[in-house]
Amino acid sequence: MPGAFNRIGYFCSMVPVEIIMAAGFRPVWVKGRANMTAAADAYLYPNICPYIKSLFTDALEDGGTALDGLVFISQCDGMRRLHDVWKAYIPSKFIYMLQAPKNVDRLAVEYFATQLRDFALQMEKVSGSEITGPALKQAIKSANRTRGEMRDLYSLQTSSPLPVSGSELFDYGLQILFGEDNEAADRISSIRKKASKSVKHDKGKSKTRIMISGNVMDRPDLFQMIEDAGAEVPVADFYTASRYFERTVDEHESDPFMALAAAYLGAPRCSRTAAPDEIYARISDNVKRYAIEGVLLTSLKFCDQQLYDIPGLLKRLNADGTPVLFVENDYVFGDRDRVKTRVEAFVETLES
Amino acid sequence: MLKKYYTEMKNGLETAYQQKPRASIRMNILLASIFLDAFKDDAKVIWTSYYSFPMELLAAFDVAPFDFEIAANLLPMFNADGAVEIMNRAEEDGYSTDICSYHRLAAACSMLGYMPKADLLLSSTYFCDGKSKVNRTLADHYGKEAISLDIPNKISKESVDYVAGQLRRIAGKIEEVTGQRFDLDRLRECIRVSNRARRAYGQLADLQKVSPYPYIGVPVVNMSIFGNMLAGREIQEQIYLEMVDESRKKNHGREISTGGVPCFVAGVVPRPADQYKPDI
Repeated sequence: MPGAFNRIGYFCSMVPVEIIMAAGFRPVWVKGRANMTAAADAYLYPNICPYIKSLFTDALEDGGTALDGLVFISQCDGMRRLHDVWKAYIPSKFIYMLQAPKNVDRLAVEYFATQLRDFALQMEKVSGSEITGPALKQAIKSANRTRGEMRDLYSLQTSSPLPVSGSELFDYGLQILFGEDNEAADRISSIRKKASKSVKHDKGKSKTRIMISGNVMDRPDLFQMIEDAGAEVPVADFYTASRYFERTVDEHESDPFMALAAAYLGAPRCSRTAAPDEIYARISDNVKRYAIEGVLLTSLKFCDQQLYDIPGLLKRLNADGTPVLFVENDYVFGDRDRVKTRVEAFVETLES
Repeated sequence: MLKKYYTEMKNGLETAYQQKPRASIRMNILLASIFLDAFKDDAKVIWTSYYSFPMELLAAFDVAPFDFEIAANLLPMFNADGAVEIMNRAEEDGYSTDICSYHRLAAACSMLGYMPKADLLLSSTYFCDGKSKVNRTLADHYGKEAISLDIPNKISKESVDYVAGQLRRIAGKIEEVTGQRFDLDRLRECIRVSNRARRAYGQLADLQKVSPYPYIGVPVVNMSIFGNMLAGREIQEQIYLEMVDESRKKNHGREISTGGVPCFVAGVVPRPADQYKPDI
């Protein structure tokens, strides 16, 4: 049986945390702590995602003992390779590779549901107890409530000046990802109530409003750069930020696995399954909703999923007149000064 | 530009074949011919991936299958400097230098209008993330539909059912795009023909165990990559068998290698379909 603090790590927002919670574990988004990833270069190609290399460098240093188990998902080629080297070189109590379809139609949802059932069976083996229907439904309800509270908190960010700074809000979201629990919704609810009192309704212009959009981001660097340059970040479109909290699982669907499969393959989607049109539409909606004046697009280096979409996104944003800056990042921001200069110049351009 | 190069390639190869009739040259003539078919005005052109999409399904229709990756990436063979300039164009358009150079070249050739029109773009997730991504990007460019055949990493009853369901839908989409009726019996025959060709390729691989090898790696690998464009057509087996005959002649008097360090290049000829046994 898992203890109160037994933690199962995951690396992608397509892993249904509800199944981990229903098995009695705490799902934990795994952040790469390593700032230098040279050690991983001995095991992984240098031109592989720097987030993945950072994760593996950590694993080599701590021997993979920080967590009680890991759930990989077939989100990208890089993550599959990470699974392979992790399995080969890092002793682990439990490793599972969840198969996620790359299509999003009915066939894909049905297939994903079969994979989620298998995942639940494996989690049952690890926990030593059955994942009951009521336990899974309770986990779905709990995660929905937490995401709903975060959505409500994000909705306050349409006001100006911001009731919560972009970096603070990003951090609240990360705290949930770093250890979802039953109290998360209450914590966010309390933050939201406090923040709502500071919402001003005159909506006077305060700071330049920039939205950040990208794939993986679990470090505050870009937020700090923008805020240090005198601008603010009402919304961040990452799967570690607003995008994660937009998901709601249908609590009334008779088959909870189908409900989870539909929700986790559904919108909002990242470049893995979404076409540039869909991503552009989401960015565009956020630009209008949050009165955004400029968009900072960012992508991890070597991310095939996102980098192919960048030309199409730039073309669309340029066509509709939205100022946009694209910055590739190496996850650890080893070129911080270079990126900072570009961000400052972008903010200055918007202010002028 | 590509049409001009493939015409020159075909003419040159036909001359070479007259002087030295070899199966590998015949295969390359067919490659150039199939690429040129895609430039014909009345052709129903399906962009695809010869080595990661089940070509038997396309062989069951009368379509011109066009592998944009292979087509674009033979370009440096004709004009290396020009290929660099074309890739620069992709980078100017926002394609990162971090992404596959094959795909940057294919994307830029599309933007420059060097490729034939596409009626439908089919790809698969079988090889890499980039393949289905660039397929979708180019479909966006042409305003056509892109379909990615999603191949799970695990073989199970569920994954086989999932892939089969997608293939049925893709067959329906090809019917819609081409106006041709899908004939299940024709597909069955294409699969039988394709399985025979794979067995012939297996013979060729066995003959490569002799030292010195009858063929250097390039034609053998080309046979497996380019050869799949013919999967489901009788001519694929014929060419492989011609190559088997050529190998036997070269191997006469040689012995199976027991020394040296053979280098294995991962081929892309999968097992015959009837040898897959899902873990049910």
